[in-house]
Amino acid sequence: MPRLRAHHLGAAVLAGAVTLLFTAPASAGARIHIINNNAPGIGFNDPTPAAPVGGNPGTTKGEQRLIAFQYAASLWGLMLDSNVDIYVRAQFVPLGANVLGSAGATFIYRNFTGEPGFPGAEYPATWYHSALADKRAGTDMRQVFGGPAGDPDINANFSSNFDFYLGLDGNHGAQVDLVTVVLHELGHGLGFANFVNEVTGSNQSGGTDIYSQFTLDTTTGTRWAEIVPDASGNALRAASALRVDKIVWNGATVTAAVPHVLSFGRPEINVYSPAAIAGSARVGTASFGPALGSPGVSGDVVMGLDPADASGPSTTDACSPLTNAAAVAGRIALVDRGTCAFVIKVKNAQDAGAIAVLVADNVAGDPPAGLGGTDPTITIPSVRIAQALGAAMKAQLAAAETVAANIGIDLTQLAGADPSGFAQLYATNPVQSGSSISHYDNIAFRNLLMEPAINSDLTHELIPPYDLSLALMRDIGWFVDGNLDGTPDETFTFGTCTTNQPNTTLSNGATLDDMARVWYRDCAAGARNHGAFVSCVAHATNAAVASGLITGAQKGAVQRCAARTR
Amino acid sequence: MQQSVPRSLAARARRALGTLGFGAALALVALVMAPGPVSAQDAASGPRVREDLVAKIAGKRIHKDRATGQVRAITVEEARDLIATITALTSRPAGEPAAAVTGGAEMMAIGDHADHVVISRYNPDGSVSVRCVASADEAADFLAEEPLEVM
Repeated sequence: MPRLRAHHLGAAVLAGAVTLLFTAPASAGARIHIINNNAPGIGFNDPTPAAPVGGNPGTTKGEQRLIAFQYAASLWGLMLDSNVDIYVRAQFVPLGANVLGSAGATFIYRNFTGEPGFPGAEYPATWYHSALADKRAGTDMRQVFGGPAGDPDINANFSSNFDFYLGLDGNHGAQVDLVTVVLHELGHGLGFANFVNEVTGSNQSGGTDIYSQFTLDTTTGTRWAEIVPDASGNALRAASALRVDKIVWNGATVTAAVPHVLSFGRPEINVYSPAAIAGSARVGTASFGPALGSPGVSGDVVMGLDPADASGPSTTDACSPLTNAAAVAGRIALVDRGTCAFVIKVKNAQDAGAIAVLVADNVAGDPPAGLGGTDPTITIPSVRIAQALGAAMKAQLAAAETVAANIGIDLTQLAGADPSGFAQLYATNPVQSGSSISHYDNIAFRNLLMEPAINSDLTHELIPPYDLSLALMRDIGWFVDGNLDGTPDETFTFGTCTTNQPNTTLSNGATLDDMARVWYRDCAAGARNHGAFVSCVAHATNAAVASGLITGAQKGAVQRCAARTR
Repeated sequence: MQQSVPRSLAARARRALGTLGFGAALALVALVMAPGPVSAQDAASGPRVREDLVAKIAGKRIHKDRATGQVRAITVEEARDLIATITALTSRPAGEPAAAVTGGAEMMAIGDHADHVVISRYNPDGSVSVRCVASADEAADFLAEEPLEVM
């Protein structure tokens, strides 16, 4: 468990109270301080009684919020090493309807050097997020610039009128898990974000940032940081931001972890004929009907026609029973988005005998979003295709060409990675400034913490094979430094115990150091005493050896460290 | 670590937010009252609420009523409140902030306005979709698409 403290601040005055909420043996990691910025009686200090939930022992709503927030911070702090404390100023306040929370870095630094033994900035003329700059400098950069000790690295606001799940166990049911949302937002503040305006392509103050050092446009083979920081370069970056499927993360740690985290099976449509529109394209999948498979469903495409009536004003919206069932039967129906539910359109096509349905978007944009809705009677697959592809198909059909296609998943390609195995970043056309690029692509599967959609099936783990978040942090410069000496560790650390075993990458994509920290966390959290802690570690590492994850020598190193941990 | 915030600053923000929803006002006032690099000029100018974005989401059945627990249409006022909040949270101060230089290193305060905001959208089946956005436009796009199945 990382060292973690909570500060209580009133709205205007530091109360000064420092509370240790989580006690555990000292370990590698970073201290993350949550500065409670709420006034008495509200937010983190809301006295409303609350029953303990999901491992959260707080007895008031305010306590539970703070504990859940700190728990999320501790999950990051466990995995990131820094000898400089990280400060997150946080508050629960009434936000607008449907707004859950926000976070971002407060300061950025560039061209900084490190204290003796510390590397400083790896890239010149490159902005770094505050907490990362501190880590690499080995000192609090804010104080270097004359600021006060404890000035926040990250600012966070969360909604006090939203009913979050406040448990720590991830069993959130239909509620939104506060721990997951905080993990995501802190991820942005710790480094998972660029400082580029994707609409204009301009950098922050004309300078690139550490995130852009690893943002690669595969159509040009250029990293965003390499693009000249002037008006012509801005235009190139703005154009690049629109290239769906072509903007990837080329950091070595993420790339090595991708095969261990993402699954094969990219959802797509392959148009076989006519040659004029042949090719594959990304599709939006449906939340109803059968999942796409391989080899998928193949067939000729026909327009689904229906009356223009009160259910839908168009003869291609499929909001009414189709009138050309004879043509549709046994084929893939093409219908237009709009007016009525997706499930109605697909059901009407199914009733007409269609074997699959393509819903052509009615607004320009790429990639196409999914199809929402629920109807257990739908038994054929359906997808959303981009408006442009739909128009191209319609033009060919109008010219009496035969359009043949397949919808399914490409089992040769990882969902969320490009053909070269790089993790895709979220690129859309039109661009979503600030959100585009500063997330993983939402096509990723398994779902990732740092996608723009915060999915309900996420775990709290940041490492492979569950997630790619920590891997990206490693790429941008959060190197492993369990002994906090400023030098990347060659061997792995368990708690504060440095082993003589190399920090190798394991068969599940995690490093030995990653796993050691997780074992340490899990065993420290549940152990009643030192003996129980050692036993827990022995059990976990014995299982890891049995499964082939680690060697006997690696197990021995962990267990010896566990025995020495106090 | 903490610094007092002049009462006049919060009052200016409140005045500037006079036409906004209560939640948005509280949110921005909270930001203003927080210590840190947010500038008085920026905070007091307040966010400009885009009525086209308000119109885009008002009436959508995306909001869970706290009192009843039921999903219902978001009102115009709530929509305005939402857009105002997101605008306030994602808008950076106008112009380039000045970089401080010490010994060759540079520091820039990028403000208390966060880059990323998490929003929710309740679906007709009671499930909730959660999204991280970085602008009011993006938020409106996401929220206006609800319910996904009727668009």
